[in-house]
Amino acid sequence: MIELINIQKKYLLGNKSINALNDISIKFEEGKLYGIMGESGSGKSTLMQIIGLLIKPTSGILKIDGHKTSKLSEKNIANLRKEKLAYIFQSFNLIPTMNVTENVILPLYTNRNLTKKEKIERVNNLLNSLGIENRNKHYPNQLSGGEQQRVAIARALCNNPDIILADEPTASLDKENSIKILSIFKKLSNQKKCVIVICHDDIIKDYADEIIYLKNGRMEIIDEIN
Amino acid sequence: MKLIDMIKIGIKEFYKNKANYFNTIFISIAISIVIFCLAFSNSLNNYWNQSVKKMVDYRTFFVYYDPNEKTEKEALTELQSYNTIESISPYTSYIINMRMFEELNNTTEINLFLFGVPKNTVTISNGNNIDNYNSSDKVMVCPENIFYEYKKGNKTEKKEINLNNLLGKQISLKFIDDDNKIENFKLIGTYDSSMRQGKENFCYTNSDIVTNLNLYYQPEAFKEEEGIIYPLIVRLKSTDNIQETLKKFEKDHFYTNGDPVVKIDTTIGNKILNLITLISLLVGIISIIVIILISIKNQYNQNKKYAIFKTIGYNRVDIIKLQCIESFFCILVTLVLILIITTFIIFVFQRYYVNHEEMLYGLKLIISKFNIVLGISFCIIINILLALIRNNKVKKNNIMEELKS
Repeated sequence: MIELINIQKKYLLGNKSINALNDISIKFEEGKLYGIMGESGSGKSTLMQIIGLLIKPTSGILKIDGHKTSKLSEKNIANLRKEKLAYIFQSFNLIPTMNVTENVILPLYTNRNLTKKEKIERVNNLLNSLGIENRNKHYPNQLSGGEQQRVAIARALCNNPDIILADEPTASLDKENSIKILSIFKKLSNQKKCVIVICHDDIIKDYADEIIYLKNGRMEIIDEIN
Repeated sequence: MKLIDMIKIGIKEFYKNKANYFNTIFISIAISIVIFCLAFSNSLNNYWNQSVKKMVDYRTFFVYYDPNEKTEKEALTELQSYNTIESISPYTSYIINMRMFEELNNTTEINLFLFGVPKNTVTISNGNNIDNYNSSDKVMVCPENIFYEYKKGNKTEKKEINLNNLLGKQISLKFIDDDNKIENFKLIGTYDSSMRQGKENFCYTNSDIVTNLNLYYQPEAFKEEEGIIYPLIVRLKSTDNIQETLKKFEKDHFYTNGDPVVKIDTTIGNKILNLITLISLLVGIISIIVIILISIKNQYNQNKKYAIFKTIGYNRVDIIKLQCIESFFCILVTLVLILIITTFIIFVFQRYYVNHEEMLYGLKLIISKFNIVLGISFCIIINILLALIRNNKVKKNNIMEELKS
């Protein structure tokens, strides 16, 4: 589903070049939950952002469903983000001027295949499955951290993506909410989705099928847990 | 993306974004003041131009000659040869200050200036002109609305009354300094009051009548004395001939101060215009600075928002369309505000200043179609510029950098 071949990412800091990622080659398959772990600065977020097409690698090849992403136009990349990829941020990144329903339905405005009724039904189903249906008229600043994260997940899942990328989704949450979120991800992976999660917490090991350890921009170990 | 969905998001983003409120209010006020300034300038120029064309005294000059060089007869003969001159009259025929002694609404004082003219001078709106009468007939033409003074507390106020119902009737006049003799004049015609400048009552009769009145009531004022030279009253055929005629006067050793006897006093009008222009410039500059600062600050919030849109599958074209819709609502609200503010400013200015300012009597503030088009264009251009700046930012911005900002 996702294939990285010799991915490198360098950043320029003044005159100095910093290698955020060094020679990363890995494959991600559907139906699995992957955990990415490592110390701060090890390149986890950079790797995730490259996979999520938010930044471009300095060199190397990224393939999604067999297609090289380097050859894609801006429009095609946007379509990929719309139809295949979903990105969940640590800081939620909800639109503050829109309520929960409006935030969640936002990706569906670009979907011409659904009627208005179907869109609303899908949004309501998502909110129900995540347990936040009674907060649908609230604004992000009226929600707890866990609720905001669930709204972000609902928004990400709206277009039924095949690949779900979550960058530290539990960083701002307590243990109970973290477990809820990771359980949701596990369910998604069981639905044949490819779920990749960055997580500091060892709790990820209870859910992930594989753990990838990064250190100084390189892959150290891949642990097949389940 | 469907248009209806774009409009929903656009409307929501418009009224949720506080920066839009500031922008629309500032732009509306700035453009309203600019439109008002232009409207005032156009209306004032129109007012002066129309007055010049219609009021005879704006082409009347006092012309002097050197009695050591020529006699009065020689001066008259020489001036009569000018093809730009309509009439020449002696000084005694020019003007006399009278009082109207007719009871009109229990008034006490109606002062008027009686001008002597050789023939048709003003455009009559009701009745006849003095051309239809002999030069010895005591007939007069007055403005449709005449001012009378009355005391209001310590102040003297002026009010208008209509004379049209006295057309064809005899009106009693007295000389300003004489309480005894009554001079009866027949009101034969009236002219559009707004064609005079200020709130003075200018009436017209035959030149010979004014000469006779002046020699009767104030002969000492016209006594020939050594050292005093009385001018001739020269009326030109048109204000177009003024410069040409003044040059010829100079060449032929006639002297005039270069200004018509009654000239348009543009002082107050110009002062107001300069003040309004200055205010509008200041408001315009301050508004532009404020708008730019608010837009820069707002841009950071907008960039982050549109970066989030990009992460959920919106492409640049979708985002630009959303911004255009938001701009469209900004333009719409701005135009409505401009209409309200400009109408209000003009109403207040007309009612509480212009209508009470004597030198601007009859001035009507009107917004021309050109002013409206200019205002609308300016409003649209500013909003499009802001949209282009935003578009440029959307094009260039890096998603992750914007999300972290």
